Amino acid sequence: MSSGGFLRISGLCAGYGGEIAVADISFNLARGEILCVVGESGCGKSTLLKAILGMDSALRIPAGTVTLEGTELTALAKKERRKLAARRIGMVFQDPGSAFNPIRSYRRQFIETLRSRGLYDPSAFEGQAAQALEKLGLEDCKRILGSCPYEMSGGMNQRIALALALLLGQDLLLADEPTSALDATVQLQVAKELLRLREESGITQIIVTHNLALAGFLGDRIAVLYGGRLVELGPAKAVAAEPRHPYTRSLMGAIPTLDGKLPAPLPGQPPLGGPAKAGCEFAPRCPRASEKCRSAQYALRDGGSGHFSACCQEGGAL
Amino acid sequence: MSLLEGRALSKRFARRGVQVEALKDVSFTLGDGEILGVVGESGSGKSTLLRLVSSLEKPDKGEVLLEGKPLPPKRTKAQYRAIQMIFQDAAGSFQPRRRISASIRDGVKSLWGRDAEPDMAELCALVGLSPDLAERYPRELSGGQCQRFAIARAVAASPRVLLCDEITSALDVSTQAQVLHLVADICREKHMAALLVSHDLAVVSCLCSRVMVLYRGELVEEGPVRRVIDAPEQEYTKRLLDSVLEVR
Repeated sequence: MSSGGFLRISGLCAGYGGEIAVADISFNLARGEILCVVGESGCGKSTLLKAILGMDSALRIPAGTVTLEGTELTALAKKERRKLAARRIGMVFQDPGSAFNPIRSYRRQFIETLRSRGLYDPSAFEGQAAQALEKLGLEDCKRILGSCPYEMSGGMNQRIALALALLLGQDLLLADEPTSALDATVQLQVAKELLRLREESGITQIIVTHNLALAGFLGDRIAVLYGGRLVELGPAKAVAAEPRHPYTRSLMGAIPTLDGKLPAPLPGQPPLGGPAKAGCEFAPRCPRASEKCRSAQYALRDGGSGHFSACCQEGGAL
Repeated sequence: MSLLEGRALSKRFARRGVQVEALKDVSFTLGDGEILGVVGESGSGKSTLLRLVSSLEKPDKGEVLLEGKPLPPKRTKAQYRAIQMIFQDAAGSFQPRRRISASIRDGVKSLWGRDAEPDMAELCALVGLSPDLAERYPRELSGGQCQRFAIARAVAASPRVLLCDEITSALDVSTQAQVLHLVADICREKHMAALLVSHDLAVVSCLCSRVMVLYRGELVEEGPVRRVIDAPEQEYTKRLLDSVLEVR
């Protein structure tokens, strides 16, 4: 599906215990591409990232493959997979404090992390660190490295976590709501740094967010997840301007804008039990649902120009 | 006469030996049934302002007046009931080891007297939740459900003013929209006024008639929401507006 062979996800299913949280996920990413994954709480966004990262031993992947530049990660032994993920895949979490130990200096934590991957070169460290921090618009490298995470604001911590990913030479960045805990001005700043990481260092990114406006700003493409399945996938501009799935349209309508009108909430609650066996997951909340929707088999259909939708009505078109 | 008034409120905190002026000489008025927005970045003094109004903190200077009367440092139960606060972390604002209904009952008893009992069925209906959910623990509810119960607990005090501190910031867009509607409906039905703190100007624009912009503890701009959004006078307000990402 779509161009690019840097990261290939095919038919991926994942979940905890006996439950499946995400199913039938397929997409490809080209090197340097930014994909934003949007959806409500509980739709499987974070599980999808964890399945790609492969560090969570409690997460089961009963079907599907994750292939990074020709290496099938899902076929590797656990130890091998973790080793490769540690080297190439960076992860940034919503809680800016969670990436670091709050009371150890950044310098010590940077060095420990580099050493654990066999990348620590004492003579070059300060220069490399300064360069990585500079790329994120952070000057005064000495002061930053000497401070502890508890002394820094959320936005700073998030940017320093990105600098560490850069320092480790990771080329795939997974970010789980990286800006949700930050206020609006800092949010925009971090979003711009993510774009710069792509421009200057070619880092491929998958950004999970519930903020469609942010996804439209950052993403080359947007993937919309509902009830554990992809319901829409397409170029960011097209998804934002002409959403094809009714769920995406409802989600857009729920965003407050500066026009002073109250946004329209979606009726009901999202499903919590993971993907349904038959029928469209969104049917119970969909304004256009018909009998057909309750029995339709899940399939993502191309509506042209790489804009896919899983709506079974009129191929998902308006 | 305005319902609630803040006069020259100031507050300093000591942070690692350094005095930080969290709020400098901020005054405001809130009319009956009005929703007043307060915007600014982290550290601008938004939450400090609410904490002073709610008496969670004492101001160093200035005073808070309810219906023209200054509120004393030690408020009466009726004065506590009149001003109720809702927090960003709704789950954290409930006792984790008590059922939601028990927490709401505790709140009602502390504000109305030992014999008072909340009408749980009515409160649940008001916030659109099933009464069964009130028998759960906070960890067994979603963020949106917890926030609705936090609103129910505040409304149980029959307040005149609701203080809302980033109440939708931790929620996803669809839940955020539901909670915004709920606050608008309740304020209208119960004829309550509100101070709505948010870093998101879009959220403020859809609920409030007036807005105050705080920057480093100072009130830098104030006016009708539409005027502030369409023709901001201060550089800082323009910067805040530029950081609002719009989807279309």
